[in-house]
Amino acid sequence: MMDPNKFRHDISRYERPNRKFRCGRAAEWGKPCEFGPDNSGKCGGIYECQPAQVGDRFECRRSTLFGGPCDNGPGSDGKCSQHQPPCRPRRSIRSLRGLMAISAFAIVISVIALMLTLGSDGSGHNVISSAGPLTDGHANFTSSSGCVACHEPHAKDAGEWFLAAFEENNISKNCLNCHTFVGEPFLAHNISSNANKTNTHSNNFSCIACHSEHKGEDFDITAISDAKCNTCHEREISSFANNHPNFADDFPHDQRTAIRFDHSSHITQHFKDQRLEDIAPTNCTSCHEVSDAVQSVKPVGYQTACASCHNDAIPRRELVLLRLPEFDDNFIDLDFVSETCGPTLEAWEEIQDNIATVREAIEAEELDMLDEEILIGDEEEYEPVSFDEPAAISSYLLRTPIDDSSEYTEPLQTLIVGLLEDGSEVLEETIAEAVGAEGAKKMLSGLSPTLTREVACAWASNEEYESPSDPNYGGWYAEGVELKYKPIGHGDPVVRAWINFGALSVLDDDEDVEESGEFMRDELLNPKEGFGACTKCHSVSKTETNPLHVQWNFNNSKSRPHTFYSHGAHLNILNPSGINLADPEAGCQTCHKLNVQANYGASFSDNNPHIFESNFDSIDKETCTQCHNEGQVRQDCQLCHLYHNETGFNLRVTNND
Amino acid sequence: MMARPQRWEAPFGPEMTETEVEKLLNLPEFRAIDSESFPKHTPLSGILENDTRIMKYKSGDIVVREGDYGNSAFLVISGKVRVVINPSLPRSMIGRESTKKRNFIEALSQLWTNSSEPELRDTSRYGSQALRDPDSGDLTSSHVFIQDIPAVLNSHQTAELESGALFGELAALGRVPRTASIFAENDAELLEIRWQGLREIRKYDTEWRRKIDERYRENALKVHLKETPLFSDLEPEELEEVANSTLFETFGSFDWNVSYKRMREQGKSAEEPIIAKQGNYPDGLLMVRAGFARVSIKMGTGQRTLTYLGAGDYFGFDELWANKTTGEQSLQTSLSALGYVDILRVPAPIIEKYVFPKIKDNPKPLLTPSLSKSMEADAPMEWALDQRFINGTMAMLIDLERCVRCDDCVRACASTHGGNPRFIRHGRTFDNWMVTNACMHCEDPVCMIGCPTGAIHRSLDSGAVVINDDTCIGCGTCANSCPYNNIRLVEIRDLKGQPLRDPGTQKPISKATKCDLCSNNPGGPACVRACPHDALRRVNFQGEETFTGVKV
Amino acid sequence: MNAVTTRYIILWVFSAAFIAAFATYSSISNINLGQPEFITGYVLFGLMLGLATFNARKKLSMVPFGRSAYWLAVHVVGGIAALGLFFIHTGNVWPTGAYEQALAIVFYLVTISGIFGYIIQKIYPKRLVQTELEIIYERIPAELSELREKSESITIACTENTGSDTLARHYMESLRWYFQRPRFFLSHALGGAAAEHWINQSYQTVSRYLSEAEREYLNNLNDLAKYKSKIDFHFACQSMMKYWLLAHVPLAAAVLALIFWHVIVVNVYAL
Repeated sequence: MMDPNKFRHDISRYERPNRKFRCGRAAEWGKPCEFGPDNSGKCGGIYECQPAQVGDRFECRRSTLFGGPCDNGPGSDGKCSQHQPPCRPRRSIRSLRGLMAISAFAIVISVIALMLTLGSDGSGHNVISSAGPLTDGHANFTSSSGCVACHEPHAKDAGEWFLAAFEENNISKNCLNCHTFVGEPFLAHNISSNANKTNTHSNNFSCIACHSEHKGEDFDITAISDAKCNTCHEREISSFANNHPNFADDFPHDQRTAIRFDHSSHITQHFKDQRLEDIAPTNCTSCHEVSDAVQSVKPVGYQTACASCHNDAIPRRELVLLRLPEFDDNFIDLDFVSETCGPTLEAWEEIQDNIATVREAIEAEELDMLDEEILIGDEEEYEPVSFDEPAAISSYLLRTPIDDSSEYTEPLQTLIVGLLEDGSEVLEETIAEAVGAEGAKKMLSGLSPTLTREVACAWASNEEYESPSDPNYGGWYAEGVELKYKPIGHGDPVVRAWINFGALSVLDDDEDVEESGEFMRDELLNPKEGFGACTKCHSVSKTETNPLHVQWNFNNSKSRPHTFYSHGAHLNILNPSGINLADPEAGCQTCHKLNVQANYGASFSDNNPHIFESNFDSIDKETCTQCHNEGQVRQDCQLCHLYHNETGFNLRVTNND
Repeated sequence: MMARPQRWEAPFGPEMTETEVEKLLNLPEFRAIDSESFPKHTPLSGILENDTRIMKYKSGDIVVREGDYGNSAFLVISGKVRVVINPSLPRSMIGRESTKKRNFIEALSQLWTNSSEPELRDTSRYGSQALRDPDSGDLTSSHVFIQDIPAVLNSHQTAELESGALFGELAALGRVPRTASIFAENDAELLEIRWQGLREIRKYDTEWRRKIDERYRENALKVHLKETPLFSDLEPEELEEVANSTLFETFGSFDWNVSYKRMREQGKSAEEPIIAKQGNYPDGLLMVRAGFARVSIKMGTGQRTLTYLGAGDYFGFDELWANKTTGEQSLQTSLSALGYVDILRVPAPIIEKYVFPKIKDNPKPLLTPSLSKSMEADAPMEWALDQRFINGTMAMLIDLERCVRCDDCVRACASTHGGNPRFIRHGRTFDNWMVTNACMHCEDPVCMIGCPTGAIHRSLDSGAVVINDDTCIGCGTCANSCPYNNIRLVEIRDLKGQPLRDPGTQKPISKATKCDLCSNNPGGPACVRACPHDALRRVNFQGEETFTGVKV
Repeated sequence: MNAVTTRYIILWVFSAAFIAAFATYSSISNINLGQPEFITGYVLFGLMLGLATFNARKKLSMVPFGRSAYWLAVHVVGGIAALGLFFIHTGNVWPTGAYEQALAIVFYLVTISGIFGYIIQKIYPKRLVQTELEIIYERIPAELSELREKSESITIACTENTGSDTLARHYMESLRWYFQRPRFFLSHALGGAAAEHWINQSYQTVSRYLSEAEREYLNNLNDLAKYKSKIDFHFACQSMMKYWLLAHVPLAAAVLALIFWHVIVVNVYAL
């Protein structure tokens, strides 16, 4: 303990820690003087007392606190003899602290002020205003316009800039300068009003509510936590494996396939056929191009996948456009026929006969007999060359019943005469009435006027047409009483046009016409006959607007804008070495399991596209959770679900302006 | 032959001459005294020469003030003095409390009004107080005086004290505040007798003793007894009997503080007169009327303190009770005086006669709990006793294990006192405890003894000991009296910061300063409030839990 | 349990609840596509201002604004709470923007300096008590100066009375350096015994050359040196308890200045 007497009342002053300065002598570890500096930091004590004049003498008046009167006493001039050179007082630590605090505050403010003026392009301002680097993508796009690209106030002058602090900012609207969305950009999932949804879906959501910028170049700006999804969605999903609802019963086969391809029969029977050993596919990937596929996996196409087996059948399927039926009567002006076509061989022979007869009669001089023979023979001897019904197409086009010759004789003969006069033009005009000129042209494409006229001449002359050439090459040709079309190959546009014509043919009020229309459609779409064989594979659907619809192309899987699945990625993981059909547990069949029991064909019998029984079992959640579960691979919402509808960019961005 | 009393080395009134002593001896009050009854080494003439002084008062001068502590009595020699009976003189008139308590805003205003230079004073204030000869520093001539005597006489009931009247002896002998103010109506001459002299005269002269004791019994003793729980049930006549048979004794020096301070500075422990000794027969109940006494028991070669007694406590009750009920028992403990102790001794038969019959249940022994404590637990109390901190009612106690020496308390103090601290954050330490050099507001405020103007006094509302800066003449009496060095003189400056000097002597003008418990400021002591580490408390050392930190 | 401890406990509980509430609010608001940063930011701003008022409270000790001990309790607990709130607000430990990084580093420094100060203020007072010496910081120079005078006079007396200048030479060579000013600051501050070691070493170094009479003087010097070592210890510890505020307070002022600009920028650009 310090000597307590040092604190005696008469020798110890109060310590005054509230003072700003302390003795400079003490600061240098010397003995501080008793006076101490004044508050402005000046040394206060040079003389220890102010002597008093008593009579003509000076007396010491040093306070007892400083030791009482000194030994030396004042000089003769009245000055105190106890003189100390003034010291250089120091600030107290506390006072220093106050100064430092004020300075620190001031330094920060000045640095901010300095930064605001630094750089002619305002780069100093940017540094102290930026909340962090942008993601790489945004950094590149905004580099030309700078902060203003998103933050409008940035370009304003100081006053307006400051006032902007009190105004609402709408940064998200600037996002739309570059980004586009199908649907409403600020509505949930970009889906506009939907009566079934809760109020949340009519709220506006700003982009920045989910997408935080300025979090660094590599920040994943699109990552959304599952919790965020759960906030809106009534069904809270803690994890996919845990309580994500199972997929729909028919997932993913909720839509009838466009091409009727029975995987069961092909895989279990046809591909195993010894005869097809060389050409039958061994892998799913032989027909399905999976490695690059994302969500939709398209088959490789007819030529690669089907043609090797099915090509031969196609040319055998013919279309009968016209058939010379049995006529009750012949209204055709034969003179005109022979005038236009020239005499037929038969006629010419008859004429030769007649000439011979005439010559004989002349020689026999039995001329009255001659007249009689020639004239009567013509009239009595009309016998039709065909006993068939007319072609369904022509009946439909001419709106005549197919089996009542009294009804169709005249129109059909008129048509034949027309063909005789103008080639196929009249036919084209008739079809054009139903499907328009272009369609008609497509349907009759390749039909040469010569052929038409020759056929018409023959038929008008009540003769069978005899084709001069071999009809095996395909295309339009005539044979006997029929004008026909033979497909050139798969995808023949004429065939397709005709089948579409058949599918689209509108039913008429007239019963007869309706019958013939139905008859024609039946003929065109009947898989067992003619062109109809196309619909063996190309599915036919009843639709609401048109009677029927034939699906020529592969159907993309049902549009699921907010889900996402990558086949390619899975294929690489499931079996990188190849997908073998022989192994029903591996490869594609891990998920797509063949269901041989399923009555696939029945799905097509009714032409109802909504009824479908797939060759494959539906895929359920367990298939996915084998891998996508707790702790193995990702199973967050964003892995399969997409928040936005189709996103895109404004062209403006890519055009360098 | 015994030596003259040591105190006579410093006579009370240095100017007393033999002729004046002769004159005094001719006064009727002294003529009646048989000087033969005095011992040779302390003759009556010697007492008058060394223990008295003649005080001259001008018309209106206040002789004693109500509430003063005094160590002397007065005998009117000539002139007229008046005692103010009812109502009391206004405090401002007797030089007290000229400043009023600040409200919140005024307190806050100190933030900007406090001077950055030390000890500035608005000297214009000083004129307002009627103060005679303020700058002389002469204790006998500086008085507060009443300017308008007739007005006082009109509005107050007063009584005249004529020549030969003795007053102030109760305060001088019993260490109690003066009960009334007394002023000189016209120029008067009074003999002031210091307590040592008075005690000697009372001791050796039966007439003076009878007179003093009678007045004491009548005015003070009965009241005191009545307030003691033991006697509170007694009938008036029984109380009269008790009062009449009660003996009063004083132990230790009245100005114990002077010798104690000296011993303390030398690092010695002070003498403690024994009041009752362990093993002696209890002849009565000892009641402490003023001062402090130590209760101790023999332990090893020393005395172990069990507790200490203050005013109102009594000693020997357990033994007296045991004597009556279970058989003879000598005193189990000793009682010794810590400084000055005023004891009332009620004889054992009186207690047995009047007190014991009224006690139904066996009273709990008072000392048993203290005996079970460990020495370690008692050590702080022993220290507090040795240091006489028990005197303090609001001592500043700092827990050094919490204190980070930030001086926030000192700055807070300065902020409520015009920018000037009023204590030093340093003091005696024991273990982790420090009692700083801040006024403790003593139970027995020895500092108040001898203040010539009554500038140092107890505040009426808070009981704090405060100094009226306006009437303080900077004599240093209080500062010298305080054994704890808690009053400090400061040299004051005017508002411009220039040191103030007495125009005549050219000496710097000083004022006594000390902690006033922020009595002018709202919210109590700022130091306590300002301590961020809960290290500083103001404590009453008479509390049991002073060191445990539970009670403040 | 005294009133201050009770308050600390209440405050810790309250602040833990406060932090937990804000953490919960922040995460809920965040997944609800809200902007919890707005609320947490302004609360943090308010909290920082509140913490700063502790300094103002110290200047207003003349008015009854509650005990400073309670204020400190609020300051300490509030400071830790501010750190928690800071993490909740930024959602991160280290922000990406240059300015935010500056703000964060100063904020951390303020927090660290505060915790450091709190810790040394808990440790040093107990150590100071163990010196059995108590000295007012401001009086250390005078005390040292007195010791120096004493030691010099002992040395002079030794030379005068024994006629040998060995001790004087030793004094000039090494002891003078020691008595010049407080020494071994770092060792004292870290609780090391470098000073004691030095004194002992110094004693042994010269002792062998001294006569009995001279050794008496050396012993006196040694006592003074040991006494000075205690003062030095006080100087080191008391200095540390003042110096840490030289970092804490100015840094706090800097943080406030940085926060002001941050609030403006956020309002201009983001809100």
